[in-house]
Amino acid sequence: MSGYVIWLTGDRVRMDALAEALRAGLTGTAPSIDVLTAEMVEDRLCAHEPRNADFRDVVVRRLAWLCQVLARNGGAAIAVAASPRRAVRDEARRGSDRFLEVLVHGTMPDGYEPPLEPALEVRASDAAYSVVDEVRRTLAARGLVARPPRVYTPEEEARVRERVEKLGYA
Amino acid sequence: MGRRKVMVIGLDCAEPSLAFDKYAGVMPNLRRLMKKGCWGLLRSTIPPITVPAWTTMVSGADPGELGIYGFRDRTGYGSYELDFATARTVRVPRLWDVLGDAGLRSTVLFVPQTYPPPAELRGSMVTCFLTPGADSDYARPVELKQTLESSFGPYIVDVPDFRTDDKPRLLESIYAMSRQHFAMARFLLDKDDWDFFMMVEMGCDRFHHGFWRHIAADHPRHVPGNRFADAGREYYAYLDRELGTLAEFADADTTVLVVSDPGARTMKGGICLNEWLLRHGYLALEELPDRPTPLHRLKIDWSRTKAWGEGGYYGRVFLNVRGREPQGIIPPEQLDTECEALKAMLEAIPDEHGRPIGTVAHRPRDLYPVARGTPPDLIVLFGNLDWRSIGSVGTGAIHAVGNDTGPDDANHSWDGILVASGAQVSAIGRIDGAEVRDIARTVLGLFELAPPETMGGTGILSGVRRVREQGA
Ligand SMILES: [Zn+2]
Repeated sequence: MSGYVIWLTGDRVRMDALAEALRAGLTGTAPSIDVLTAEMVEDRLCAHEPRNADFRDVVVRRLAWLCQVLARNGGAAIAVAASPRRAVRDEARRGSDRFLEVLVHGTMPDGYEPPLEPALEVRASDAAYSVVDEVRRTLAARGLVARPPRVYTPEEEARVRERVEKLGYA
Repeated sequence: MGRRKVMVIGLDCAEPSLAFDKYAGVMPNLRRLMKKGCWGLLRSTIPPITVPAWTTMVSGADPGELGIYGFRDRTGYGSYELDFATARTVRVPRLWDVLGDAGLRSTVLFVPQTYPPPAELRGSMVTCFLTPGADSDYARPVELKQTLESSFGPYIVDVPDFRTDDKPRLLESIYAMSRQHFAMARFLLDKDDWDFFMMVEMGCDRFHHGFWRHIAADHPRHVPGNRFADAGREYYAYLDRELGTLAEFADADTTVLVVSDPGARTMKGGICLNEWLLRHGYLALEELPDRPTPLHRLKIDWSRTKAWGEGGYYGRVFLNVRGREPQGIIPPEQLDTECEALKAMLEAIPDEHGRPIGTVAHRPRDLYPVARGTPPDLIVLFGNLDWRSIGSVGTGAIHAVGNDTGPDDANHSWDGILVASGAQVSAIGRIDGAEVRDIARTVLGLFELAPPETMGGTGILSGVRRVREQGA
């Protein structure tokens, strides 16, 4: 069983609902699916950390480490963090080959550095079910989860295709 | 004012010149709605075809935003394969998604691109004609399938055996389908607790494609006084009676919209797109077929192929670009020049007598602010929709006229109909400039809900549009 990390970066406000939809929609693809936020890490793992210029990076690094430990043991982790700095995210990604960087478009934090090659881009307005679908397909393409069932069986596809051709649509 | 409700009755392909003019006399229910509210033409999408047009209608997103350019789209540049555009392909929220989030209930019947149905829905749904068959999982809630079947028999997903010479039977099948669908609609209008009701009936489209030559005097093979000459008037009169029975479910606080997309026009013939590409050195096959054969059944020699096309009511052309397609040969820096050259050549294809036909070929980047998914390099409207695109090779000619095009008597045309009536609609008569992509925002406006950011268009009834005073 291989775990995976879905790292949401970008518009923080839209992430909670998205992470929840992903957690629900990916049920069954890993024995556990945890949604971990930057705020959780701040509260529980960085309470006594000095709030200096590096504080945000420290939080993101600890969040990434936590996610990787979970994934290494077969679990799935959905990281929710604006994580504006590209270099810090790149570090996190390099730590795991099961890491899906998902850029959530919308209202970006000041000085946001977008990923150069995100595994996936989601606009804040995308319907949640389609995002779940796309994440699932991407994970499947990397062999991390089973392929989602196709809309049509080959027999159904042939049926629909013949009908559409006869109707003149193709 | 009581509980606001909206009822959208979609008639695929209902033609304005018939509904508003030629057959207006047999459509008293439509005229009543027009008189009480407003009406006009409803401009379709480019391309003007059921998929993606109805999804644009219910989402406000144009085909580029949707990344849906036809019934089947490429799955990516990394493959030559095409795959069906289904409900799963739609990434933007549709009306019932937005309304559901706001706690409102929808009854959604036969709307294109609703198969497969969502896991959950606030309301009920019967999926569209792209449902494989009556045995499929086509209803929400799931138990609705059993309920409908016991009352109305197996779901008639579409007209069976559309490509037949047995016209009387075809006509009967179209009526049988429409009757069942409208009966289901009445049943759910009565039984469901709905805020938003929408149905799309495909019968009108099937009727046009199958019988246009019989009803349209400008069709090259029209025979005056043929046995189906009145079939159009009768079918439109029938649709109007169904419309009347649905409108009875609209109370004083319900807004009723009757919409169609697209319209219909005479089809003069077909242009064999791939045959043309083959003859002009764009397409190479390992073996030439001796009879008309769909391209997907043939072996393409990609090492010598610069472009290939898809048939349908409009054409699509894809270029084979090095580094983009798996076995691409056009150097990427020449993509633009090649595309422009091909566009000009396609636009210059004359009719079978050498006369110009006014073809328009569009590059998606010129049509849409964004072109998501894997857009074709060219969207080709042969003869500005007077001609269709034929994808088969081995046709022996570039032009298919006469019987070669099968039963497709009609092509799509640019404008459908829009009629709006209800307490929130003033009797302003004819309105101009409405587009398919305005409908979603218009409906949300009636519920006073804010549209999601992918929902383009304009609220038609909000008075933003230029409105021309004119008695209906
Ligand atoms: Zn049609």
